[in-house]
Amino acid sequence: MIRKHGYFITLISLTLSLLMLASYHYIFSPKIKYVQTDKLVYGYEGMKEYQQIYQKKVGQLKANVDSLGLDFERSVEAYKGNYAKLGDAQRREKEGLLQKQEQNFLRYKESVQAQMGKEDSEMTGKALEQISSFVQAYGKKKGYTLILGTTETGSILYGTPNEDITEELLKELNLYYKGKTK
Amino acid sequence: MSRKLIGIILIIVTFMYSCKSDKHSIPVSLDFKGFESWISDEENGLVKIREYHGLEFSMFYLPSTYLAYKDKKQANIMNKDSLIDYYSQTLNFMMRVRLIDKNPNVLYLGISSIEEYKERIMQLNFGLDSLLKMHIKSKEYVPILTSFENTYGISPYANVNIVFILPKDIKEGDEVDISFQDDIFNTGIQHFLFDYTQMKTVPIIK
Repeated sequence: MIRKHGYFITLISLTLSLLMLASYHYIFSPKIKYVQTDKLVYGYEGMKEYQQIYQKKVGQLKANVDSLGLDFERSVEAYKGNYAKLGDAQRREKEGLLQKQEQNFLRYKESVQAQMGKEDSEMTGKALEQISSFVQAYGKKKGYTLILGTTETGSILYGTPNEDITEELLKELNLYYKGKTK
Repeated sequence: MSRKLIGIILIIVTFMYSCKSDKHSIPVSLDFKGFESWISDEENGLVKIREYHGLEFSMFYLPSTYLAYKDKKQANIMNKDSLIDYYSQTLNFMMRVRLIDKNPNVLYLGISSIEEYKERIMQLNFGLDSLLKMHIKSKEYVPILTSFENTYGISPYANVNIVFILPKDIKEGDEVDISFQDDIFNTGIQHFLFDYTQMKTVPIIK
């Protein structure tokens, strides 16, 4: 009888010890997850919206550049058409004006390209800031120790699919962006 | 005996669970202060909050009854029903921007010169119309009025009043999406999604 009680107590103690060890391991071991950064960034609805806005702006700017370019070409054609009728002084004057027009057009084209580059990097920057802010809050909420970002070409050489939280994070991120969650 | 005890405990627990008050039920009427607290509670669906890197954007929907009551309190120009009717032609919102956990005035965030500060105030006063939009189904609406409340540093947040015309074809169950393209504090595009059913279902102000 005493022996049976002894075995019973030993079994319970062992089970409790194992449970405590497992709980300790679960609570205090670091929770490290990773996300596929490219998938997150390009799947983000905010990034898609920015790209739409950017394309609209770019379209307008390109239309302006094309219109000025066409205007310059027409001026050149008109000059060529009237070349025979013009005297030397008039030709020099016309050529001077065409040169100025060309320089203004090229300067405008250059400034538009610079502006497009600036808009693109500003918009991308804002989208990335939003993603970063959300990921920080998400990581804290889920109790993760670390969330690593990886691309196809490197930084994480191996990770089990269980630690890949790209899909769940992207889903939560998009719901938050659209205002469907708090 | 033990079976009877378990049965009694189960009955008590079931009774307590069914008697638990539903937080989300709408009160029939509230006094003005109570109504203000009610519409400021995120659980009631009339305020939506977005946070990005320590900056908090709150979009409050202001019911027509609230605005009518507020106006009536301040000046007895029109009667209450006429005021409610007046405000019912529009959808009124207030956007509040503030820094979370800090007290500095949000208008100074990222500002390094008086010129930048003046530009920000100009944008808030005159540039918001192009940054705010309302989307219902697949249609886009621009505000008919935006107004920045400049408190000259007295309060640490910035309030902007926004008014849209009420679309004729809006129905209960429609989603009302207010978007703000933040070119002022540079946090990107924010979306505040409301349910028109919740916007229509508010308590009466006693």
